[in-house]
Amino acid sequence: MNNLTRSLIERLRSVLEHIADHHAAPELLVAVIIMTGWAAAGFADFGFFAVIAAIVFGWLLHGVAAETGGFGWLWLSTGVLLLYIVFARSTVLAGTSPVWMAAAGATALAYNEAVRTNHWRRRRARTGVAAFTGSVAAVLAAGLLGMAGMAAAQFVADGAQSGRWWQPLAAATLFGLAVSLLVLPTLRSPESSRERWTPGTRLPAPPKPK
Amino acid sequence: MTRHLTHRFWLCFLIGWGGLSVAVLTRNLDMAAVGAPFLAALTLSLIDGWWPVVTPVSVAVSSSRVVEGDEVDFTFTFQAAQRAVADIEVQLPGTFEATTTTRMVDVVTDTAELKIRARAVRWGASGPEWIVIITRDRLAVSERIMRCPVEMSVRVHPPAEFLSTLIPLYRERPVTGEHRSRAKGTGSEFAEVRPYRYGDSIRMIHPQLTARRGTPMVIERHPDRSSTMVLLVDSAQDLGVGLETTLRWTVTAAMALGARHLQAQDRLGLLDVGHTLRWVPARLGRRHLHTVVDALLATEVTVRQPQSEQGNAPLELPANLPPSATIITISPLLSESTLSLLVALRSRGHEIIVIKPTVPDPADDVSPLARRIFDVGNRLNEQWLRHRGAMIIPWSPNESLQHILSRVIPKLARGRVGT
Repeated sequence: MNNLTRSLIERLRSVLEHIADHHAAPELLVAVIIMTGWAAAGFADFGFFAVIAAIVFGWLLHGVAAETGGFGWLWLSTGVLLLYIVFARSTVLAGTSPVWMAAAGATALAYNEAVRTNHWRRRRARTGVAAFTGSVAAVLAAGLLGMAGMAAAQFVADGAQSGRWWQPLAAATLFGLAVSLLVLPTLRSPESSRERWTPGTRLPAPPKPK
Repeated sequence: MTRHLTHRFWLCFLIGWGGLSVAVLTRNLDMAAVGAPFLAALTLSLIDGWWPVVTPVSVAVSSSRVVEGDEVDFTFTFQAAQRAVADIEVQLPGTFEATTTTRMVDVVTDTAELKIRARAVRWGASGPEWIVIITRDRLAVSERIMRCPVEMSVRVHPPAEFLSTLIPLYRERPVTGEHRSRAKGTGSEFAEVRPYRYGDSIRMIHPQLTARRGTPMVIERHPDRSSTMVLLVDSAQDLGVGLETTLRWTVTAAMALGARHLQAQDRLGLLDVGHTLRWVPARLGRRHLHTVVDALLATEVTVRQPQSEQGNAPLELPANLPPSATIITISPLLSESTLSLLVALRSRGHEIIVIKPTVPDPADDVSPLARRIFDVGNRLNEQWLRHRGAMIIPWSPNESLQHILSRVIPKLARGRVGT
């Protein structure tokens, strides 16, 4: 075995150890399963190689998001997952009710939450189990509420038959208005600051009491 | 304290709002359905209560005094007004090195506790600097960041040696102590034998000597006296790296000398000379030793004030500096303010003894010429001070201070060394 081979094997071993140490947490495994599942479902009709390419791309984005702990990458990987769900609408979710689409949306939310909670571990925080279980419960509740909401919307839409589209339009407008009412005071509040303290940043020592 | 809408808010808002908009445009509920859980997350977090508050209640420490290298436990207690996910981080100063994690993420319902074990790596008086608490609702849509300064100080002592030697007595106080006075009187140290003189007390006649010599003889003794000492600590600079620094050596030596002289019933004062002046008046006793040691541990190099604020005004000596005090200075003699202050003290008639720790070797990238200029300047400073009557004892901190003093003090008692 020459030096090049030996160094390559060493490098590979260290990469595998790193993956085992940092990417084998339960929440990340759940996130990987979600990403893989939707990549496979989204590209099922495009052939074997497309499925493999979609899975590898999803894994790459997921790996970067988990490794860097950056919210930008987390947004991107969640966005790609949503894209896979949109693609899957034409395959596994074709012709299903909006309730199933809401369930699919809930998995995207779960994926985002799983990677976010993993950031706590990455920064070597002492993490309580309640924080993880609370996250799971919150995502489940959001998913169930979303599904229930869509079931209700489906019922209303079926009942109306004529499709009174001013209703969702009005709902969207009201929702936008409500959010603006919440966001604007927050942004204008004296407590709000653009300078968000990033965890881990060292602050200058406070002045000593005289 | 700041509060923010997190990235999760914008994620939920964009996906939920986007899904609704697409659903309206395409007249199909599917995309609204994808966004529905995100909208539900926003709604739930709003119901759960945005911007929850978790506040620190108390900070406890296992020991308020430790020696360099010891470990100490800090316990922080927090209280929540409502159930919240708290991301708590404690910032320790450079004098402590955490051996356990300094960060905690947990759901705080009523109270929570964070225990941190830290090793004291450098002397000084300091403690945890900040507690930063980020509280979020359960779906992390809103967050509140609170930065709380911690007012707690743990005194980390450098390992100081025990001295048996005292700096000699120059001006005595009429109070019993451990210094041998040059005067004669009642004491324990033998001075001379002389014939009985008119005016001597009869009790002073030594029976055995008188019997041997056939004439009344008297034994004279040196009385044991105490003195007033002022430790002058030069904190204008701290040269060196890690634990091998001039200020650490200065503080270590000052603590050893202070403890010894207070034990010898000397009154002890402390003058900390940096860019400003700190004065602990001369007093006696064990309690005063704690005051002096605490003041020494709080010594640090202060930032020089801008020229416009401070000007070139020399440091003013404290009004209650005892005129008979012997000034024991521990200084590398590099600061102009310290040198001029020593000259001012000498001109007021104080005896000045300088223990001069060796300056650590500079980094390799310092040119030999610069090093020579530095050495010459340093030597000129020494000579300038010696010509004004100060006594300078060079001290390489690799060597025991006791060893140096026991070698030099006998010469000091007779006259002056190195002048």
